[in-house]
Amino acid sequence: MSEPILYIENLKKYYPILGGVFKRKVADVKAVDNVSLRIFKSECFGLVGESGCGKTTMGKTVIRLLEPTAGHVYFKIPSEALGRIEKLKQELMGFTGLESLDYLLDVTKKIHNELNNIVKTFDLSTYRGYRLRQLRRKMQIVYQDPTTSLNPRMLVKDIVGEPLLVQQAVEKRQISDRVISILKKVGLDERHLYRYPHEFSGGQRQRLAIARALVTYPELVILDEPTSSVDVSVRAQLLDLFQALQKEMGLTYIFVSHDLSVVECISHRVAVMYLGKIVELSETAKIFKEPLHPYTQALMKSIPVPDPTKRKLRAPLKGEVPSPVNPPKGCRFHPRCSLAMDICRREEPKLIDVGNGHFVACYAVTNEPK
Amino acid sequence: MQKMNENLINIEGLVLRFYTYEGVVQALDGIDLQIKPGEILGVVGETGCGKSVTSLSIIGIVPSPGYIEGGKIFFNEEGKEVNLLKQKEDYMRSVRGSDISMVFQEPRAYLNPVYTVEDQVGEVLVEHRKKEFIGRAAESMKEEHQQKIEESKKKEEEKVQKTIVMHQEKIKELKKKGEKENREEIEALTSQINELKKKPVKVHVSPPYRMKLYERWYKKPNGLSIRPLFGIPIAGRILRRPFKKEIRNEVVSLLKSLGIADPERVVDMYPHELSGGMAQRVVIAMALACNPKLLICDEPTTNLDVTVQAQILELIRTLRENFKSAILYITHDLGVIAELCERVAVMYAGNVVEVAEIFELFQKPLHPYTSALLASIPRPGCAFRSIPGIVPSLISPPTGCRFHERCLYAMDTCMKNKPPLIQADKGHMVACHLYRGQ
Repeated sequence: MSEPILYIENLKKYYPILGGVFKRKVADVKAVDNVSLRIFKSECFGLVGESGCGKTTMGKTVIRLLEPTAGHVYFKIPSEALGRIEKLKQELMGFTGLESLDYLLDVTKKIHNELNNIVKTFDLSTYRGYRLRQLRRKMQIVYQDPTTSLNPRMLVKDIVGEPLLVQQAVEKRQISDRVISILKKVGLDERHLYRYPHEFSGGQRQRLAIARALVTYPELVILDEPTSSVDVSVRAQLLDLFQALQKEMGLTYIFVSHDLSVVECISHRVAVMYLGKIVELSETAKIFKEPLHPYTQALMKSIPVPDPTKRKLRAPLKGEVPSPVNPPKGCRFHPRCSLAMDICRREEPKLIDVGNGHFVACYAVTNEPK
Repeated sequence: MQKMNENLINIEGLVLRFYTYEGVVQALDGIDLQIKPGEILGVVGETGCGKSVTSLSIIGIVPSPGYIEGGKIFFNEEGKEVNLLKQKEDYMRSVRGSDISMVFQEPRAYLNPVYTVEDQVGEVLVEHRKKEFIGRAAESMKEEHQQKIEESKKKEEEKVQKTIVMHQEKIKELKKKGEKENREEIEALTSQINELKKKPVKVHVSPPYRMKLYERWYKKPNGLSIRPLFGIPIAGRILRRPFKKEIRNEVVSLLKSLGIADPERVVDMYPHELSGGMAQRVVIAMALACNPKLLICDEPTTNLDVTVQAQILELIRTLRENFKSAILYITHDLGVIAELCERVAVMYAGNVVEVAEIFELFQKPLHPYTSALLASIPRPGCAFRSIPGIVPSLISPPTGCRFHERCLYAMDTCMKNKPPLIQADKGHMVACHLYRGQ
C-alpha cells in the first residue's frame, strides 16, 4: 500500500444528553469511542455497521464538521513529524521511576511542550479560520440524500460553484469553466447549468452532489451512504462513476454504508463498527471470505443473497443494538454473542492484529491470555 | 372459469392514472397479475414502476389525484368472485384489514404516536371481530356466574349436611336419656331430617350486572339500544371492561406469537418506546390480527438494519406456515426476493414485464430488463453492469414497449407496439417481442 494520508488516534465523539432544570449534562451518547485508524492514499476505505453505530458521526468528525470530544486526527502529516510524536510518546513511557523528581519534571515538561507543538501544527482539531478553510478544500463529503443536501432554490451552476466562491480557489471568471469541466466528469454537461435540483432524477441529483464535492479537487472524500437512496440500476451507475473518478483524480474515499454488497464491490479495506467501536478491520477480500468477529459473521449471514438456491434458514442475531448511552460492559457485543465468555463480560477486547493486517477485537478469536 | 377460481386475487388489465398539474401520469398501464392462495409472490421493480399503487388498488386506497380507469380486480371470497373495484366503501371496509391487510414501509410513521400498542392492535380486532370478543366476554362472565352458583350450592349442601348431623346427634342423645320420654321430639327431628334430605338445594346468585347487557350486545353488536350506554363517561368505561380485557388478552397472545419478548409490558408502550424492529412486528401483528387471506407487505424491511431485516424475513416465513395466508411482497431488493418468495413478478414503468417461478427467473431470465436488473446487483468480483439511461417519466412514457429506449435488443416493432404478456414457458410469462414467435 502507498503512504497513509490520514491518521486517526483514539478519536472520541460524545453527544451530551441535557436534562433537569438547569439543562445539565446527564449522560453521554458515545457515538464514536476510542477509534484509531490509518487511511492510505488513493484507497477506498469502507465503514460498515448497523444504524446508530457511529459510522456517519465518525466520518463527519474526521473532516471536522463535528468537533471531536477527544483524540487526534492528522491529515497529510509528514512522516518525520509522526515519527517524532511516536518517539516522544515512547520517551514519556520509558521512565523507570529511579530518576530524581526535578529532572523528571523538567524532562517531561520539555517533551510535553514539544508534543503540544507538533500536535498543534498538525492535529485537525486545532485548526481554525483560514487554515480550516484551506483544509476544507482538501476534504469533502457527499451526503446520503441528495434531495435534502441540495438547496432547492439554487441553480446548478451556483450549487456546484459555491465551494469555489467560498474557498476563493479560482478566480471568479474561471468558476464556470471549472464547474462545466467537473459536471462533465460526473456525466452531466453545460445544458444542466441553469436548472434547479428538482428537475433532475435521483441519480442525477446524487451526481450533482458529487460534482459539488469534487469541484475543489479534494484529496479525501467522505461518501456517506451515497447509494442508499437510489435504485438498483442507478446504484450500479454511481458505483461505476466512483471508481472511474477515483482512478482519474487519485481520490481517497471513506465509504460509509450499511450495504455490505456495495462495500464489497468498491472498497479496498473494510472496517466493521459496532456501537462506536471498530470490531474488525481488514482487506475486503479477506474479511468477506473469512470474517473472524462473531458480529461480522452474523452481519454477513444476514445479507440476503440474490440467489434462490442459497437460501438460508435462520436469522443469525437475536435482539437489537443496545443504546449507546450506556453500552454493555466489557465487550459491547457480548449480550448478543454466541461465543460470549466470562472475560467478555468484564473486559473490553482490544483491536489485535491476527496476521496480514487483519485486525479483530474479540477474545474468542485472538485467544489472548488473561 | 375453472382456472380463474384457483386464484385468490386476479388482476386483469388494471389501468391507473394520476391527474397532476404537470400532466397525466400513466402509473399503471394495463397490468395482469394473479395471486394464488397461500403463496408468496414477490413484486420487484425500481422506484415509480407502480408496485406500490398496484397493492393500494387491491385494497382500494389509491391516493387522491389517482383514478382507476379500467380493468378488474377479482377477489376470491370462498369460491365467489368479487370485483373489488365495483364494491361499495362499506364492503371494502369489511375486507380491508380482515381478509386483505397490509404492512407499510415505515412502521414509525404508520403507528399513531398518541395511542398505546394495545389500543392500536386492538382497534383492528374491535373493527372486524367485535362480535367474537363480545361473545367471549359474555361466555367468560357466564362461566364465572356458573362457578359462583356451584360454589354457593356446595356451601348450602354442606350446611344441610351439618344440620342433619346435628339432628342425628341430638336424636342419639335423646335416645340415651330415654327413648320413651322424648319420643315426640325424636319423631319431629327424624321427620325434619327426612325433609332436609328430600328437599333439593336451592340457591340464588344474582348474575353479574353486565351479563344480560353483554348477551343483548352479542345479538346486535352495533345495535342502537346498547351503544349510548357506553358513551356515559365513567359508567360506560366500567361496562366495557370485560370486553376490553378480552381484547387485551388477544393482543398479548398475538404479540407473543410474533416473538416479542415480554408482551405484557410492550402492550402498554407507545410507539416511540419501540425500536424499529419491534415497531414493524407490531404493525405485522395489526395486519395478522384477523388472519387475512392475503397479506400485502410493501417494503417492510427497507428502513431496517440487515440483522433486523433477517429477523423479520424469518418471521414472515414462519407466519406463512402458521397463518396460511398468501403474501404479496413488494420490494426493490432482489436479495430479499430470492430469500423469501416462490413466484416473482418484475415490473417496469407501469407494466408487468415478467412473471416466473423464483428459480426459473434467477436462472433464466427472459426479459432484457430482468437480466439487466440481475446483472446490476453488485456481487463479489465487481462484475456488475449498470443499465444505461434512467426510468422514463410516466407523464410521457415511451411508445410501444416502455423499455425499448434502454434495451439492448430493441427492434423496430418495440417502438410501435406494446408487447402483451404471453406464456413463454410453463408458468413463465413475459412481455417482450423477442419471444412472440415461440
